[in-house]
Amino acid sequence: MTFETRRRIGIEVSIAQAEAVKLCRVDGIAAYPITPKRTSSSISRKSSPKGISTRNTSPSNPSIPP
Amino acid sequence: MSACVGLSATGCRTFTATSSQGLALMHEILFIVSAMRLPIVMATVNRALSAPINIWGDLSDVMANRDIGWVQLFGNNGQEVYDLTPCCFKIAEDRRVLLPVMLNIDGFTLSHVVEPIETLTQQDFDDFLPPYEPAQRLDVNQPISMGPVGPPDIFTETKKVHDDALVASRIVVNEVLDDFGRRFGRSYRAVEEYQTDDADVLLFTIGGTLGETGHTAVDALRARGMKIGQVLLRLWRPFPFDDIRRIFTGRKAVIVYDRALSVGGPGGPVASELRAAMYGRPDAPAILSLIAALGGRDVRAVEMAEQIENAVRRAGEGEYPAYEMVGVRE
Repeated sequence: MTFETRRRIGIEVSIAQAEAVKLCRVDGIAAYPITPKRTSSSISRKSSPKGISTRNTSPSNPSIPP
Repeated sequence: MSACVGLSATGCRTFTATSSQGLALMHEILFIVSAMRLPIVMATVNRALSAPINIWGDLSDVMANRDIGWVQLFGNNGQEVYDLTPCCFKIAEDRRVLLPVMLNIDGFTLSHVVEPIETLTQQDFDDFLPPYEPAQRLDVNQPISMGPVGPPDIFTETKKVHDDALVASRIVVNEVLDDFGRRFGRSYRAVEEYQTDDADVLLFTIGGTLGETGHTAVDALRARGMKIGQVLLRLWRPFPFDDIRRIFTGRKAVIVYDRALSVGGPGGPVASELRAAMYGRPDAPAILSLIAALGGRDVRAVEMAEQIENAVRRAGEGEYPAYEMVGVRE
C-alpha cells in the first residue's frame, strides 16, 4: 500500500505502523503468528510456530554483509 | 528478540513487535540489546500482565522494563505511531546514540482502532531516513567479538558509558522530532503541554488512552472555571528532567494518572519519577498519584473530571495518600 502521493486514509493503527515499517526499508523482522492461520497440510509439514522474515538480502544491498 | 540480536549484529535494520507477557518473556535479552548498542526498533503494544489472565490494555508491561537501557517513546494516537516509526530508526541509528528504541502503543484502544492517518510516500521516507550503515557488524572476513565477558574491572565503566549515551540521546530525540516537523508539518516534543500557560493545576498523563480522555476532562474542568492544564509525557526514557522541572515548578498541584502499579512500592511509576524530579526544589507542587485504567478498565472523561476535582480539594487541604487506586468497586 505505497502511494505516489501523500493521502489521508482510514486505517487500523497496527496496520498503519506495519506500513510505516515497510517504508523504512527494514531488512529483517522477527515475528510470530498468534492467530492460527495455517492449514492442516502446512501443520503436517511441521512448520515452526516462530519465524524470521527477511527481505532485501541481496549481496548488492550495501547495508547487508556479504 | 534473540533473533533480532543476530539480525542487527550482522548489520540489518531490524524491527519486531511484542506485548505484555511477550515483553516479559524477553526481559533478559532486552538488557543485552542495549548494552551491545544494537539499534533495534520494537513496537510494544501495552497490555496488562497476568494473573488473573487479562489481555487488555495498561502499562504494566513497559513499566516493568523501564530500566532496560532503551530509548522509550509513546505514541498517543495513530498519526503519532505512524510518524514516530521512522523517527525511532533515525534516533536508534544515529552514531551519537546507537541504542534500541521502543515505541509504546496502548493496546486495543489505540492499536486496534481505525483512525484517519496522513500517509507519506516512499520518497518521503527515503529522504528522511537514509540507508542504514552500521558502525560495526559481524563479518567472517573481519572477525570481531560482540558481548564478551565484562569482568569487575570494566563492568562499571560499561554501565557508565551506556548511561551517558542514553542521557545524551535526548538531544538526538529532539533533533529528529524537529527534523520531522520541518519536513512534514507535524511537530512532536518529548513533553507536550495543553492549556498550561495560566494553569494552577496540571494533569500529568502518559499514553494515548488517558492522554486523550484527559484532554476532554481538562476542557470540561476549564468550562467550570478551574485553571487546569495537561502535560503528556511522550519520552519515558531518557526521562526529560529539565522539561519536567521547567513545566511543573510553581504550580499548586499535579494530578498524575498511572496505568501501572508498583505493588508494595511508591504507587504509580510516573508519579514516582515526577516526585524524584521535584524533590527538594523550592516551589514544588503537591503531587497526587492516581492509579486507573488497569487491565482495560474504561475511564470516562466525566469520571476523570470528578476524580481530579476530588484530588485538587484534598491537595488544598494538605492531606492525601501517597497514591490512590481510583474507580475501585466496593
